[in-house]
Amino acid sequence: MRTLTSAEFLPAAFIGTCALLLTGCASLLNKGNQSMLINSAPAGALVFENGAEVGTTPYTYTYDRTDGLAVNLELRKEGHENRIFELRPAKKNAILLADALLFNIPYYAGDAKSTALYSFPQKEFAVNLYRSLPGEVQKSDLPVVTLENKLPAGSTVGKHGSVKLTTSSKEVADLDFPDQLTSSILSAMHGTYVESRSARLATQKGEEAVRRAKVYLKPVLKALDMRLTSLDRRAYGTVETEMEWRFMSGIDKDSLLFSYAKRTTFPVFAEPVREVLGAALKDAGRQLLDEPDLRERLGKVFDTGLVRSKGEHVGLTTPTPISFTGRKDMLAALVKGVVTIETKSGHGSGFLITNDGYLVTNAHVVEDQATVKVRFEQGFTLDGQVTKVNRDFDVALVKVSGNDLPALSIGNDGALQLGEELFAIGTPLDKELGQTVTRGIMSGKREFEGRSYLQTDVSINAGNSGGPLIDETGKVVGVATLKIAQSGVQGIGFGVPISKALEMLNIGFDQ
Amino acid sequence: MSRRSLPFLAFSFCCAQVFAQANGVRFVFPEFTKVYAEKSMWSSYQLGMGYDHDFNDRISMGLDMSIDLQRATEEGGQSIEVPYAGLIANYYSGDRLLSVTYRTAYAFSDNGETHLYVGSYFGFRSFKQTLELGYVSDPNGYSGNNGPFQQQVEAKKTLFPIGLRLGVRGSLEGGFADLYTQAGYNIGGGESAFSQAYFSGEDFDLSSMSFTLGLAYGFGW
Repeated sequence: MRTLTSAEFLPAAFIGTCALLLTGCASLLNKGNQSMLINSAPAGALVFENGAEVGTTPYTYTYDRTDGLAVNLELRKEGHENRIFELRPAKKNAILLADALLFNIPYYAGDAKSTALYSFPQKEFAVNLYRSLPGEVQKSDLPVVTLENKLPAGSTVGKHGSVKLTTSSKEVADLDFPDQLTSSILSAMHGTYVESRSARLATQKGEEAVRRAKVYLKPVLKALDMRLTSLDRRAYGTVETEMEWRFMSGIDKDSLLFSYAKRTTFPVFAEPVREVLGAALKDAGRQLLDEPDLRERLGKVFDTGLVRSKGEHVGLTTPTPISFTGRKDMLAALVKGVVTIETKSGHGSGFLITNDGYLVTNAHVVEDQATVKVRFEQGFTLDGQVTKVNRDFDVALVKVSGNDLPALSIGNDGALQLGEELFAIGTPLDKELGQTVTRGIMSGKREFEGRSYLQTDVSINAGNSGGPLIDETGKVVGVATLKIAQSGVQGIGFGVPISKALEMLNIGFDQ
Repeated sequence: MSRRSLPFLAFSFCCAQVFAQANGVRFVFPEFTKVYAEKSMWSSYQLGMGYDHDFNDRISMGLDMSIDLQRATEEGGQSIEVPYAGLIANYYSGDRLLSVTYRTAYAFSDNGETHLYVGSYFGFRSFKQTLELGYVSDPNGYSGNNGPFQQQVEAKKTLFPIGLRLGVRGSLEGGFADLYTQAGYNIGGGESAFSQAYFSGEDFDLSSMSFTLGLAYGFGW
């Protein structure tokens, strides 16, 4: 074979390279659009780029950068949350390939700084705006159970380019992992009036979460229609979802309280293909929270649940108070009204509130048992009947047989002042340490998940639970309930205010 | 380093400064290159080092410099028989090859991960061959003289390889490897580097085609 000489090759190579350089030029090859119509639902939102207002939706945005980086735009509309979103242009890979084959010369010469190297693969993009929420709102606890997929196996769920999508397509592989989709829904609710968390029914933790919240959400996916195209491994288009959001009773299991059937459209722009479904469900979850009456309905369900958890009214006789002459003999007298409650798995404390044997303790002390052993300071033990339990507020009412038992007087926890002296009486650690008295001060009044607590630095240890917190006048102001037990933390204990304990056990005293 | 490589280096580093995204340094070993028309590419293996640069997630450039190891590994050089004018000269040959290659790559997927790429390359190869006469024999008996053969002959030639490159490379971030092959044309090849008539045989013709297979390891930031 005859080979070309240098003299023959060089001119041919020069001409060929020049021709290729021309065809490799981005500005010559590019036929895409660098402009896109930004719309919002609802329309009329102000468009900001880098903090500067540039227009109002519908707004035509033109990409004029030369680095190919994504642009962050922000939409602001009164009564709605600000939405920041990313517009990521697609690179013209054919041009980059041509550049690389031409020793990158066109890239150095102009493509690297050419806006024509980038384009938007669609002409229009709509952003869903979510209603803004009031600043100071009481959050509603809302456990969310795993999404239920009602799509028939193998059914069509849209198109990706010209390819038909079914429930077994890799684009919707997350349908096989409903917990992951549920996480997407949960993430939509973060920072809103809903305190959402994942809950698994039939587990102790899940059941407890549902019971405390009085309601739980069961998302049901009923229909899905994805219309996608993809470029540079990112998807563009829309996803329509039809969801039924079922709000179920946390008290009466499998009982539907109310539901919303919603069809939403999620605009897809430069999303990684596998993340499209999760993003669409996240959007659907957030749009659910925009239902104008949802917050009120959740509040009502919770309030109704609390009332129900109080149970029937219990009328008790106001006790004859334990007599003492002053501070000196006060505690020595009051310990007679404090008992040790023994169960099969351990012990706790309690205190008499009537002379005929009604005593208050913590729900977690009596656990699920119907009867407990009640040991008095005087040394005798009686059988106690657990008559009422309110696990939401961790209080229980126990009845022992007897008359003229030494009962404690009920104080006014609302009048407690910061720094006021408090005493705890109980049986910490070991039953032999019955009626141990510790002292501290009132550290604060706290609210956690709709439940109020007295914070104190009184020493509270295992076994103290259910014992009384007593004020300087010798009256019960709280039920010692829990403490923060972790390394490096000291003196942070909590008690249920006595007024709340009595209210949540639905106890009333005759005058 | 050859003074000829300086413009290439300057050009590459200027480009890298303007469009800097990700960088790496590589060590090339081994790289097999076809040098002679009548020998396979396995007869010449080289080592070197280079610089890598990714402009974005798709396109990259690099600059490599390598030297031939054959001389270093074959002490005394290769023995070559040169028949001419009824005599047979036995020369000991030593080659030296310095290559500087500028290369580009287009990644078929994100070059921040392991990816297949295609690109182009061009460069130069400074070739130097030294022949030292051992002895001259006459098929009819010992000749007693060297005839037309010179005692020592040296030839220099510069080739300009140009072509396409295909390979698989990892992300520049941290450590990476690159397995590649190149195929193209050697401008200036296809003829012997020697002017002497008795070296006009095909054994001395430099290849007009450029074939390379190599493996490189590197680290980047």
